[in-house]
Amino acid sequence: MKELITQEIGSFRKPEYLARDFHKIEGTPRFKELAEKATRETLEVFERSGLDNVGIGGEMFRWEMYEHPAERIKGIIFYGMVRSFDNRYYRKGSAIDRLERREPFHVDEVNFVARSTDRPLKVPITGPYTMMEWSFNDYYESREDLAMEFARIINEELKDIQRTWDKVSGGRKLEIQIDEPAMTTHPDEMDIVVESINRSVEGIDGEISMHVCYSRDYRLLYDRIPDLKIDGYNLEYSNRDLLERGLSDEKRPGFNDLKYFTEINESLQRRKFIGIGVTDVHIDYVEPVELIEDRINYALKIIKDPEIVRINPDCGLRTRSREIGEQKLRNMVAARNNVLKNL
Amino acid sequence: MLKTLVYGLYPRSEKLRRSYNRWERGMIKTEDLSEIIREEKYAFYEMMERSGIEIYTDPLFNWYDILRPIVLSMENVKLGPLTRYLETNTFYRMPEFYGIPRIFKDLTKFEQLEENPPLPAYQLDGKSLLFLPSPYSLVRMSRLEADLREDVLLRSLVDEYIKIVKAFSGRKLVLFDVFDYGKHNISYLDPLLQSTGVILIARGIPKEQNLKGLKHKFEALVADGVDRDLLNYSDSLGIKAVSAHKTKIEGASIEKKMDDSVDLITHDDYMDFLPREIADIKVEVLGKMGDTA
Repeated sequence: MKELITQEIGSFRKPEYLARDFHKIEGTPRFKELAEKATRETLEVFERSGLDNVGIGGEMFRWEMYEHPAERIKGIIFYGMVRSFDNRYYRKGSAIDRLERREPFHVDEVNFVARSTDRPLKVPITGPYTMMEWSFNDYYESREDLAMEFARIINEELKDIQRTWDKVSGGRKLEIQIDEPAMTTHPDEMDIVVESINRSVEGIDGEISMHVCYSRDYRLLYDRIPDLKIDGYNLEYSNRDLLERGLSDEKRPGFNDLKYFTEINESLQRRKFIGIGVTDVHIDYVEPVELIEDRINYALKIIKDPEIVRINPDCGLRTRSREIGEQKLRNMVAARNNVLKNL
Repeated sequence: MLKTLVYGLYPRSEKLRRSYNRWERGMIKTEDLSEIIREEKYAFYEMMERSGIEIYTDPLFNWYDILRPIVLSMENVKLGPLTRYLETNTFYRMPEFYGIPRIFKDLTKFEQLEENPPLPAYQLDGKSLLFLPSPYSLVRMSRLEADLREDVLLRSLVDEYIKIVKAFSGRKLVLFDVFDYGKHNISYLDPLLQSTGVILIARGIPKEQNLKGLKHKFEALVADGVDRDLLNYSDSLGIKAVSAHKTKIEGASIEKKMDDSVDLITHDDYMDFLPREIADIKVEVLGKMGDTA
């Protein structure tokens, strides 16, 4: 297996021409034209940066990770905006009836991106627990029931993606990334998390990874790795790390809990890979190559086997400008290359 | 007929939300935002009257969460990290106590602080009540960064709350609790009960051990169920009939599952978790429930 594969997580800032009119033109031929143009341009950025895996071209077909699937599910209705914090709001859907997929979420996107590049792809899809957590439940008896319904729908979507992939893959393996930012929100609901994710990926033949970010305690996730039918985890670490160089535990606080991950991982019959977030997507500061090298080397001191370590940003880079996003990716790839030379 | 109560942080309208965005980007002045808040508040008060809501509090359109303006008005408290409110996807800034808190701002005047929200510019109409998180909830939602005894902190908060009540000429107060009391005793609230009429919105059903020692009664006590023993500590009881966490609209007729001691109905949390359109409909339904009960 290749060592220290570089990958992105999902989203990248949309070009102004697409972002400005996204909602006005969504579903029209004009939208298709602009989303495809933006995807091609973003794939160029990723390829120019030297990424091994170019994801889904920056999610140019999707506005946002919750709204996009929720708008395509019968039984969910949007009444308006709800506060997230301060004066920041999001559209929170209400499950008011039995949920049914109205139309595929990502099949067109997968089809287009797969035909536009010959590099490995990774298809991100919002996970069932996060979909449940971010919705009002006005219909189902329990949160578990609602999560399992989202799991059923996501499984249908993944099967459609798999059918499409078989036609356009050109021999590449199918890689799916389940995005579950809400995963560790309620420690007492980890059983629901595990059951719903496992149900989502039932019968899918490919590499399944999971992305979690900004968790207060990743150990909740690590503890359940043996129960999850997931091949690897792409996680955020740099946001909680320092910007100083160094390889000691004190200098790399963000990455300390990789020790606990390794403890769990080494006890498994089939080890999981871990994608480590080496650049913070919430700051414009472009981490120097040397700092990223230190982060990778620190992780390797703990994990030892570079074949099960992947290198990625903490999260989608949509929060930064395209220029800064590209610089961050370039430094990430340069750091990986330097580390590889010295292995 | 039952009295009806709408309390706490109420969802902002689209217009107000956009105005805040523009204000944050420096596109409109603080005075302009203040005027928009004032208009929105009075439109809210009119809606309460139109819907037949008998008791309502300031909708707190100038607040970002239920703790922040109080925290920003007190010395020895700072704002900490964004923290999840219970099981919601809504976050508040966790207060950090570095000493005994003291109100140091004039709460009746609109003022812009370093941190975004203007202070509680209580543009109250003739009827609206004050709203505050209970000292117990404020402390539980905070972090103590100094060696402070919790009972001392709670008593000092009560002292500061009395000052707030006085600043608003003894207005009545809705005191809101986020957490079940467990074994916690709230008799330290007694001086506050002495200073003004207080409606307590409690979580769970308070027990004797939580209330023992109170010499003055609450004007009303709203809990998650009815226990006639609570009348030893409250003139009347209330129940929660409308959900602030579901968009499904409740039926306007309310089951008469309470006894005669219940004379107040309200919602189970402040309404800010709902889209504005749904909150407005729920207010209308609450008004009708009061009429038909």
